[in-house]
Amino acid sequence: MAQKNIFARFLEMDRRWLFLALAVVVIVALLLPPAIGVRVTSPVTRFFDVIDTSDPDKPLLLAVDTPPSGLPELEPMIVGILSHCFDRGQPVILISLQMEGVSIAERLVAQVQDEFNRRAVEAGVERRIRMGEDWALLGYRAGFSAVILGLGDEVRKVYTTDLYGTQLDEIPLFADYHNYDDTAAVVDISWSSTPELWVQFAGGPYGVPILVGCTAVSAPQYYAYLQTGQMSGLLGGLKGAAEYEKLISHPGLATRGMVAQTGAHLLVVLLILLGNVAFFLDRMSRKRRK
Amino acid sequence: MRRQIPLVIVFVVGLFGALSYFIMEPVIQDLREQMLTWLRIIAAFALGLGIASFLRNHGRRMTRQVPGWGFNVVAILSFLSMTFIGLVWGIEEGTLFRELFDNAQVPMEATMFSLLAFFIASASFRAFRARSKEATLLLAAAVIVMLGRVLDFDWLSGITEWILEVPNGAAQRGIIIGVGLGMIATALRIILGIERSYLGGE
Repeated sequence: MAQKNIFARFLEMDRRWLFLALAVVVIVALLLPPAIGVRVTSPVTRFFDVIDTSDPDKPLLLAVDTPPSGLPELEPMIVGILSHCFDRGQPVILISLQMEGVSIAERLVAQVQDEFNRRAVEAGVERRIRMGEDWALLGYRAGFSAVILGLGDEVRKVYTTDLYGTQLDEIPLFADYHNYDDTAAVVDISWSSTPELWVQFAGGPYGVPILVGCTAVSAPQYYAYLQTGQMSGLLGGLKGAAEYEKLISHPGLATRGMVAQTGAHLLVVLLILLGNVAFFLDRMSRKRRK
Repeated sequence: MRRQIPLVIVFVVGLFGALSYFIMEPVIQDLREQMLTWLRIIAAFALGLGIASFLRNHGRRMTRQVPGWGFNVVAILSFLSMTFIGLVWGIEEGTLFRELFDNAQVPMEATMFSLLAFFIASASFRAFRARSKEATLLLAAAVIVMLGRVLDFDWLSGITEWILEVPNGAAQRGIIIGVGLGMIATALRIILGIERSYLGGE
């Protein structure tokens, strides 16, 4: 049996070395200061503009349709959107078509509320964020498309109470809220195909603007909807979240994470190049030997 | 008769579901709302079906002691304990259920998803080869998009956006239209009783 050349041996190196390289790059990047410049792209600007130019008296419907797996990329989006709305005094109604999304939404809205109220105390501002006035959490309902269509007719037919058992008619936020006509926009933060359902069953029939936040791997499939205007804006992955943080002047987890993501992307590109160079050199070397 | 009644129900309900989008008469719309309520109730039953299937599959592997059956025990125990804890002490903020969710389930699921990065790194080195013209095109597009998503250069960002909006948008639209037509064809086959596999047996 012929001895393998150096390139073939390089290509067959133990993959644990690659894992180690990635771990080192990510850890070192996370220790560095978040000094990466983030260029804001058109899908994110459109996303921001829809919220920023909407009537602040009309609530935003925020669907947290993600399990914990999607959180590293999607959590900064939820935090950013809540901060943006609370800053401009726009109420937010949180729902979930995915059961685990409820606990995530509850934790994050409490976190943003506490942060906002702490800053208000420090700044001596009287305004506070309150449940029932600035936000409401309705919880989970099974049935994807049936829930989305139901919300277009009357929210009270889908949810009679909020997550804590209070009748919707007793919550100030719902005094004039009934359906998508009273909604500034629908935001779906998702790691599955729910954004397409929102386009089909809310955006299409009722004309409410649909904004989508998704993982980077899902983002390319929504560009077609973005181009036709069926989606009014798109946040794709950690980069989309970092761009949004830049627009709302609220650097957070995504801005921080972009350093690690930059390091990881550069490493992957380097590995692709090295792998291809070694592959062709190995092939040339074998041909020459023959 | 046992087969004809379900076929008639599917025909009537399917046809009504499609037409109710276009007929704005109050009677039709009221009935449509009623059907949406039924749909949500049926969807809730699917959850029970999922739980039964989960317990059956894991239980069977556990009792037969197939290789790795210890993981099935962990799955069933985790499911039962979270259900018990949630039912007894509630699921609100500050409860044991929430502590377990935030401090065990969230990091575990996030870790599983993050592990993908390691496999992508390994695959990019071993499998992503410019073996043909098509593969080279794909590779070049992937490298540009990966760099364009993280590096702050005007020209690179422009090319990245163009790749995502034009060639990618066109390909995605083709897929979406194809899937849409397929869904319409399947729905028509079911409504008209041509496709009957959902009845079982055949």
